[in-house]
Amino acid sequence: MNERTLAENFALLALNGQDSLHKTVAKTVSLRCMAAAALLELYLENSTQSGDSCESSSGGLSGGLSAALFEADTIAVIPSRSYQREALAALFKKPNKGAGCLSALARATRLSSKSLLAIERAFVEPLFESGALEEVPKLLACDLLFDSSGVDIREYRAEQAAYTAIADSLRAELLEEGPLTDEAIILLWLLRESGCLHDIFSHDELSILGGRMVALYQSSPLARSLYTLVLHRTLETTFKRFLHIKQAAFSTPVGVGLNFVFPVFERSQSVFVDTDAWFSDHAARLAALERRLREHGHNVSVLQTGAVPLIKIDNCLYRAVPTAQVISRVPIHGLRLRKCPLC
Amino acid sequence: MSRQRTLEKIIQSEYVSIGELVRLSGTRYSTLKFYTEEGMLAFEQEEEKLTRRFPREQTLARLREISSLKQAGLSIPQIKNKLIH
Repeated sequence: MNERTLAENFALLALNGQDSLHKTVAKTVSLRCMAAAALLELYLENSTQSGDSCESSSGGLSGGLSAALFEADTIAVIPSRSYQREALAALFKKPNKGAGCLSALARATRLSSKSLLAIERAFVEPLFESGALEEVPKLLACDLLFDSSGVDIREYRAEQAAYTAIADSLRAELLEEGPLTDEAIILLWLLRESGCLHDIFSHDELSILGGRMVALYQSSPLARSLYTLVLHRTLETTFKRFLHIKQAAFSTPVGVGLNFVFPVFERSQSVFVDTDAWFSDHAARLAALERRLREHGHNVSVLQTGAVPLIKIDNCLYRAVPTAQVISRVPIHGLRLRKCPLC
Repeated sequence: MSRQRTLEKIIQSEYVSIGELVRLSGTRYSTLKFYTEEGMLAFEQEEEKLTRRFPREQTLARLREISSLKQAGLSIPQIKNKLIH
């Protein structure tokens, strides 16, 4: 079995569903935390090599790490992976003035776009090679406005088995009684700072986790050092959370119907594909839709033909409803995709 | 606190935690928790607040048995009856 590292596991959780071609707020938040994950991974590797455990480091994370790795400007452990090298290069671009690892981690909030892009590439390339992550086309790129503007949208998708294994083993460890491993303590903090906790844990489980974090803060030196450190920016996290809630609201049967009438509410779920000619018949409309979807790399199969065909696009069912979109007073005929709420 | 065990070490150990069982068997955590609460998976727990430890070989064999019974068309109450009695 192929075992991934702590930072790679976190990257799979954090990058799943993120736009792969453009810089978005949600992805920026994830990338900062991925840089922090790479640094913490080095800390864990170092503590293993030196035979230390977190309990033995006097001041928790800052004590052990600053002494071992980040004293002055030199790094004792040579980073073996490309993403570790990129993260360290970005985090230690300027001389380290603060208290070792903690000040280095805090710098993740101020990483430049260029550094974040380099870190992203260094993370995703080995994950692509191993098949744990793939880049898939997003349905919104087929929309008339996006397609005619030449805007391509693609997103990362973690392999389902890998994602489930990571998320479920973490859930099992955090929600069960008993002591936690260092990896679980670190992943919990990274998920909190990247705003990904809601993707993995339900509302009730989050309240259990809140209690768990308080208990950890009191009992674990590592948690005490780490949990006081804030990597996120409140505005970005609020924005990310708002988008998440909006998407969830427009995935319900009522939300899907409302979004169909008012597409502006959730553009990602309301795709308009123009047909080649005005007043085209059922077959011509469907052929134009199929062609556009295939051009963008989607798997399409028509389950039911007729005035409102039922289509399966990338394992989701959609109704293609004939409609017209008015642009500059000119009505453009086409089909608007309406997601079947049952799928 | 301790470090997470590698798969190599988990495969060699006699007892595993439920998180390690997820990694070993590929079964969802919620499923394992349900089986445990229904008494279909045996475990040891030294004290109330300590980690539940599952005998690795026996639990994996039990999971395979449950899976084959499910494929044979038995419902969960029927499987439970069959396993417990």
